[in-house]
Amino acid sequence: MKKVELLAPAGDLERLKLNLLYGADAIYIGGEKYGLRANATNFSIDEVREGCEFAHRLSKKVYLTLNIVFHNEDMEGVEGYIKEIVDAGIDAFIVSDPFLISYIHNHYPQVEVHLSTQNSTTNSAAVMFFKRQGVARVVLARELSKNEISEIIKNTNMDIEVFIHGAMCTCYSGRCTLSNYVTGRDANRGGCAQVCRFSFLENDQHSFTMATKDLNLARYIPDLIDIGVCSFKVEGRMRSLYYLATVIGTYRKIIDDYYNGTLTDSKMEGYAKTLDRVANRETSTHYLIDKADERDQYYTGRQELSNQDYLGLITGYDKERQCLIMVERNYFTVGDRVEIFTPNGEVFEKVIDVIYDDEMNEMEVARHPEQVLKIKFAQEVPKYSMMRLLEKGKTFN
Amino acid sequence: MKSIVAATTDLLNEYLECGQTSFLLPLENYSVSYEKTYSLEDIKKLKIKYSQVEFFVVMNKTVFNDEIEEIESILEELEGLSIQGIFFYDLAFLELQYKRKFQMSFVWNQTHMVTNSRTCDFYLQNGVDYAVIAGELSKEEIVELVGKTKMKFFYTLVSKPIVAHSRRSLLTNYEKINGCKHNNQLNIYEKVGDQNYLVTEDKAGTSFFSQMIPNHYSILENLKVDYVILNESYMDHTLFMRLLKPTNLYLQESISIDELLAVVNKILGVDSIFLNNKTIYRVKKEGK
Repeated sequence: MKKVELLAPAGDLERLKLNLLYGADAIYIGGEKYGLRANATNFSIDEVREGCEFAHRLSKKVYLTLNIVFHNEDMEGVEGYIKEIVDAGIDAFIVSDPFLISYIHNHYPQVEVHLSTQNSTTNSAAVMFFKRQGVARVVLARELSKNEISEIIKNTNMDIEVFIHGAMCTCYSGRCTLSNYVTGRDANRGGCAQVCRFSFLENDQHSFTMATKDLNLARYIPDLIDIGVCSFKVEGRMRSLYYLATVIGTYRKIIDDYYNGTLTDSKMEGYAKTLDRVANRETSTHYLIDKADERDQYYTGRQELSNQDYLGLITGYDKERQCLIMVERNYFTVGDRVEIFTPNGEVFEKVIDVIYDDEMNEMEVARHPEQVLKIKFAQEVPKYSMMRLLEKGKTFN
Repeated sequence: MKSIVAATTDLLNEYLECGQTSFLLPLENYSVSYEKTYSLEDIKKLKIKYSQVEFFVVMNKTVFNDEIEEIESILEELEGLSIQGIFFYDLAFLELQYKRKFQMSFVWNQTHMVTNSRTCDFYLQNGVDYAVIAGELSKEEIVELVGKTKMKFFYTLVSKPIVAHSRRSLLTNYEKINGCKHNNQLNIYEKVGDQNYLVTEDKAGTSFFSQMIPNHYSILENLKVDYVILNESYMDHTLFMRLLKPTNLYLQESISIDELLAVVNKILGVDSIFLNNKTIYRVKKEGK
């Protein structure tokens, strides 16, 4: 049985590398043109090349989104751009426009075409239409139940990718121009202003909101593997390093434990807790089990919470003094119980006994984000390891 | 160029009296974002009652597996009724057309996605006869789109524009939380753009409409399309007829474009939303 792919988002090279090191099998990125995150940091051609080389050295893959709804002006130069991206080593394009699907399929048969969720594909007949056009994989709409997904896989024998984690749209992808009408920014060409997270007014009185909670299908990973899903997609090209490391690292463990027969209920509880702590919104399963309803939304405006768990990124090791070198992200103190986790899946618990600045002056409180600090630790850990808070200590709360 | 009307009643005589010969019939349970829908039985009766009238049936719902079989049998029946064509959103329809080769026109009606000529060419080669131009294009984009493909087009001249569609039951959800009732319709106000939107809900989900009827008449003279759509959904009937009558007079060459514009500009004002305002998608950053 082919193992399911864990597909992670990356807004830049650092996130691409971090995700691959934390266990992603493939990465999807946006180029400087034609992607649905026009205002995010995106990849230049050279960065695409570097990202592909890095991934291929690890026997992993990189896909590029080319999924805007093209206007005539956008078509100018797209063929040259596709050639440059293919030459840079890309493994697949994620596309929504059928003309481009057939263009890429006919000109670059060595590169796969994946149908973007922007097409909101919800049935077997539509999947078969795209199969005839040369699509190798369909990213299904997020509005489907487990049974509907299963039936599509059985009926079509197509590689099917589903979203398992991250932010959700309120409306069908591709069927929403709220951003266009309210802000003049074209949702279907990468300018979405997330108007579905705005608060509207009903009769100048009540606040009408429709913002969705995030998606989290961690507990249903075994079911989705069993029905034959080929790729699990995590949303969030603009998310932080800490969020990505935690989410990708956790899903890596869930998937591997399931295949190894070691995914116990108590392990799953632990993984679910880890994912909950990194989330900045509440999560739900939306359409997977029942039709999405009032429990999947917010009714009081925007609900993002800031997360203070991430204490810092480990950047090196001072062998002489046996200290981890880290860049601080959030406030912590001597006495806090923390966890150091690595891209290899290792986790070390520790109570902070002493904090040094980069000149080895002793401190009791770390209160300056971006400050270089040193923490006593007996062993070196790999690059991109991180430290997070488990429990505040008593002394300096 | 002809006009085609999506009416809000079964009684078509009033429209026929002002020269209307083509109608859109949104099919019950298989169309979304229309005020009035028609059952298959209604459509059969209308075909008999108005035998000289041209009917296109709208089936623009996002489709799920458990609906495919019924859609195939509906298409069979509609073909038997000599319906002029089918407006579709979901590409399942093209797979069914590929398998069955129905003798009806297929109209690509992916609301916001009909935006470039090369994709129109693709659909033309894959069983599509017409496309409905997206409502978010500028005048220049529309002229270029139409000029660079052999696709035949519909263009929405009058409507409360459809803005978004969701599978979620957003009004029901809102009512459950707030304990109020809205009979599946709600007007909401958005303060950033100072605009009102209409939210409607049915079994297929929730639709959002702009409450402003944009004035698209300034493009009419340069528009090379087969049909202009006048969609009465959620509009005042009297106002709608005040627009339909002069439009048909213009299309029948009984009045000039200037005479038409003099009438409709008075009714609609001059705001065209996107016709003279291209949407942007890259926010300018400082120093760039």
